[in-house]
Amino acid sequence: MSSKYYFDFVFSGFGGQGILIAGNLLCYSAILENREVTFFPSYGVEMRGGSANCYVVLSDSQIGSPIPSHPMGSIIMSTPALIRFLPIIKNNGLVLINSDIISTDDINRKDLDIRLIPANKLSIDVIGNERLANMVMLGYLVSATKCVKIESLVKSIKEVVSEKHKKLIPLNEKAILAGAELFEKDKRC
Amino acid sequence: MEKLFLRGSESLALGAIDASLKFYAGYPITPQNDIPEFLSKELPKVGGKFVQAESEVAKINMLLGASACGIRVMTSSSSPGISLMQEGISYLAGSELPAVIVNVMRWGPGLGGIGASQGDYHQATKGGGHGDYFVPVFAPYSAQEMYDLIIKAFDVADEYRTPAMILVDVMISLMKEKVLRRYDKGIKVKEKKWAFGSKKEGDQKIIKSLYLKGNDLERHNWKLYEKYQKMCQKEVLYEAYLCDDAEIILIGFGMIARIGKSAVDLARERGIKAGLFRPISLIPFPERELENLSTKCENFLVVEMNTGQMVHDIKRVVGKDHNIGFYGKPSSYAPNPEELYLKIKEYLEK
Repeated sequence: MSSKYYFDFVFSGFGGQGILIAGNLLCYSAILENREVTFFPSYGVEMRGGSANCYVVLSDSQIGSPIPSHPMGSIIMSTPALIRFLPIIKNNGLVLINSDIISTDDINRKDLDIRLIPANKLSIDVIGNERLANMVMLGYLVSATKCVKIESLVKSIKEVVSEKHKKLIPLNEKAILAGAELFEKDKRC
Repeated sequence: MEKLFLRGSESLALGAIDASLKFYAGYPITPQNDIPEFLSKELPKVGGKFVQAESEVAKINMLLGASACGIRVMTSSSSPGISLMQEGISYLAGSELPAVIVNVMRWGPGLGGIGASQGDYHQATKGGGHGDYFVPVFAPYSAQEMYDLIIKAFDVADEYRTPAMILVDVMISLMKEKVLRRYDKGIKVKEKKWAFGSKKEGDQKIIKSLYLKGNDLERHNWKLYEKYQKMCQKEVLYEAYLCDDAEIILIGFGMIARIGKSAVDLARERGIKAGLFRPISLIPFPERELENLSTKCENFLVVEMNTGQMVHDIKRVVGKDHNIGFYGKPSSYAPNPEELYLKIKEYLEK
């Protein structure tokens, strides 16, 4: 099952931040590129305002475990998520942190590639509120890892979003591009 | 062929619809609720009937009645609900009525918990209800297999006139994956000549599980046994991954086997020749295939999400002269690949 194309991620935050939809969209775009995918959501006795997380694995051959022991990349959108998942990220792994919500005092690993992303602020610039912070983070992750093409991600939104919410598609696209642009800017610094 | 991105539970329910399911009776219990939720919406659209029964006992007996009329029938539940249905399953087996029962396992005994479990292996494979019968049991480990094996279960149920079971843990039912909808135009089911629905004039049809006269009961039980023997010849399913040159073979079914595959890859990367053997049909159990492997390999490590159930079957088949290790994880989450790799290493170093 060894493959050249292989990515595994964990996305985590509070319920309502769009953690699961971000994972779903990433999987959907990888399917559009003919990859194998697994999406594994958090499960248990949940409550409103509780934690939400998902594991995403993308590969060019059959995927074994849908839950990686040490994910190579992550999107972290809450302090409990940071405390829970930072210790298990792979050495030198990529950690995207929504710095508008999370204090960076708790970061205790030096080996990681940590990116602080003002996702709420960027989302407010696009839509006027912070609801698209997840898309900003996803745009950043996709352009940093090149796990799928940004175009596939944008296309997957169009396929997943129902007729009723169609007017939100351009805004989601903008938020993704805002995340991607931030990565390009970070690269130049 | 449609390519979809589905949860295991949705994939299974879609497979059932494509297999021409015509009657589903359900009753709510976590973690199988996704299946009735999907079918309540989709089954009526294709002319099937969805009933929410008043209890598990009611629904399994609704299945018995509907199946006697010659249509494809199914129910799903989770462990405590499956326990309640055992009497009905025994009656289905005794009356030789095809039906498909899905168990998305949770923890027991009693109400247990809603975490991922393989605690019902014994119940599924060693009877469950009273009497001398076997129910074919299939254990998928991906969303695609949820689709493929539910169709297989319907076919086997019809072919042998028996209830059949899908045994799966909640991780497979929750996980979303790519699914090829192989039979998007549906499957045509042959008319069941024995069923009430196909009564020709003058034909008398009796469907029952009570045999009081002479040696009718003995004949009936041998007939059930012969069907089981035929299944053992024809319906065995398994997967052997990198077993040919393996110094140690991991054995498991369902999700833990899938994680085992990653552990085997890890072990190979780190210089241990590991392999994986996965029974897909738990009844009939892949005995001959396992026996063959035991002539080539000394070391077996059985992994299960319970305190050790299938391991007894492995010991029975492989024999006492082999090293058979066991690692059980009766907790809400399956182990990760690294954890299983360490168990492989630990076992070999002993």
